[in-house]
Amino acid sequence: MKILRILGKILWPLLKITGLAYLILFLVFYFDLDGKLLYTVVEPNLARRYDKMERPDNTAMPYGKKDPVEA
Amino acid sequence: MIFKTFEAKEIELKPKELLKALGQKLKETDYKAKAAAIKEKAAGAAEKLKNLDAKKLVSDFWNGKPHEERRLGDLYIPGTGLYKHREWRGVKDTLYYFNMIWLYNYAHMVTDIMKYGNLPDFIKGTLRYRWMGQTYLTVMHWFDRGMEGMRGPALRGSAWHYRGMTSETIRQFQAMFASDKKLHGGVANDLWKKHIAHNETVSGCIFYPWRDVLDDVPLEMIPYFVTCHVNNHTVLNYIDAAQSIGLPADPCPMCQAEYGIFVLDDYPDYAPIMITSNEACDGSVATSILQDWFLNRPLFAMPQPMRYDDPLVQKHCQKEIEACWKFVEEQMGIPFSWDQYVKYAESFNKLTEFEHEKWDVAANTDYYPINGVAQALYRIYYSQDGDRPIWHEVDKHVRKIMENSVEKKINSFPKTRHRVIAWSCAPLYYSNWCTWAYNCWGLNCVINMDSLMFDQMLRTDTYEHALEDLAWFNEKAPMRAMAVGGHEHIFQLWEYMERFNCDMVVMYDQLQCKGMQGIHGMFEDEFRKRNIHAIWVPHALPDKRTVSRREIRQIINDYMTTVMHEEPLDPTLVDFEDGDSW
Repeated sequence: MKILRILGKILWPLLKITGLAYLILFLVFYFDLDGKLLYTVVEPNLARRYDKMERPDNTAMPYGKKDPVEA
Repeated sequence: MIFKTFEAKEIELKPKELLKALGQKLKETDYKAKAAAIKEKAAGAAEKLKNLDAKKLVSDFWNGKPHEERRLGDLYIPGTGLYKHREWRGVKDTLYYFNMIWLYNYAHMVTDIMKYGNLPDFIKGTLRYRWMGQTYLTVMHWFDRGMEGMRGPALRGSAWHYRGMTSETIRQFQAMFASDKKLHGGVANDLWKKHIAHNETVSGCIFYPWRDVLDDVPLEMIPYFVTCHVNNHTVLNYIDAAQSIGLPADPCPMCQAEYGIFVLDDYPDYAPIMITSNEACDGSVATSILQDWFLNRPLFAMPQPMRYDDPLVQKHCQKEIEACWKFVEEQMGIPFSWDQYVKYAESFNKLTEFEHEKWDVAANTDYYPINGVAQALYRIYYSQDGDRPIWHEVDKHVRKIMENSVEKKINSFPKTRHRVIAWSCAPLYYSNWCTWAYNCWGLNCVINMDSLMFDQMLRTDTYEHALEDLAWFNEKAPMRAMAVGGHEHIFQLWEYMERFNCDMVVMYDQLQCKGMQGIHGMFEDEFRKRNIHAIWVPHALPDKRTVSRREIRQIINDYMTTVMHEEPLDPTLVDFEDGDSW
């Protein structure tokens, strides 16, 4: 009985936390909160980062130049 | 930091800017109209409450609404493709979607990232490459678009196909990142020396002789092809980049996007050698030339004939493959292994065998549990990619679902009004049109052209047979066989229509494909002569700006109302704006 009581004391809060996390995730899923976050915040900020990124001008490399490749 | 509104306006997240935007919004708000709208909504809700049928409410909650009452179009936030809330499919299917699709796939995306590489490389790759960061984070919405309205076995079977593609995509980009010079200070690490890069249109089967010791990763499959389906915003940057250096705008936009990636220096440098192909057309030859320029490393071009039926070209094709093998041997210093070829070719044959079983069920019964978009994308992906463990794992799950579906006679598409075959090359930015077409009009896209390619078992009894079959396999690649491979192949449509019991054709009209444009008139004549209902769907492959998704829907709507005189199953799906959606 004592073991069961101790187990209960550990398992019950764990069950509550898991249940709450599951409920929160279900709400994120149902109300498409993941999509909304990606659309409103993540994608525009990443896109801005890529827009501003400095890139080498590959067209400046003369055609026909071949570096030896070590395989 | 910026914030994008649902009206696609970008606002700087600075306190001043925010207050300004908020003040502007408060000023512009018509409070009287808002109050009236709330009043109207409240009155409507009260009226609904009065007429509430508790039994029906419980049934709708438990089983989900009947098809005609779903009003899926009402779920969208206009313009964005986002959902006000995701669809309620009844308790069982909603929980399946939440647990076994949404949670399962998010969790497996994390475990796959760890399994196929490491987290630091993933983060570096995400921050470095537009095609990575802007696209793959939105992958669950790709699932959503493909699975809209699906129930029971169709939901389960189709989602497993998507899971396979997602996992293989992660394997490929993690393999590229782990060996990418650009992410590792310009240094070629040991993994870099063990990779082979090739065009996405060079079949993975070519590299079976080295599968145990080298990893072949198609260069454009992830940066270009898959991105178009998952987030069609990304590819537009590459098309524009190609044209910005003076290259013409009229070739196939697939080829433009493929070399646009190089113009923007957005390709990972993960392998010492490159193998290219001429599929689908001369546009791809140009891609090879530009890649030779930009990649600046040993490159083997492996062109295959367009009119491949000619027996005189078979020996030539086989020699091309052998020359490619010799090139790999010489450059990588690892000899060809017949045993490895046999092992992987035989394993791949098992995938082809199951594909034939699937076709049989799709053709001859109403119990095929895979929707049109899952069928098309999965088949083209795995047959192009070659044998990988994930395809066998997916097929095991799908077999179980399909056999159960047949045994219990479960019709996953009970609202089918027409069995449709989709022909020619599909709009990549709207591959899920068939999910919409079923939900809106009952058009069930049973099979499509791309699924029917690579229909070739690979014999392994002798080297000569193996080479012969591999050459045929390569010649039966999607765009070669049925876009530029001669009218006798393109006209195989009639045979397949009969075989799959289809009564309608959705005929893709790739506006920049000279091969298919050349035969447009002959198709018109044949459709009239054979009295076949065919809907022409124009598009520009990956580029949604030429013909939008809304325009594609309008074309189908017009045909269904003016020619077929049919009413939509779900009127909310007839017309909606989704121009800025992924």
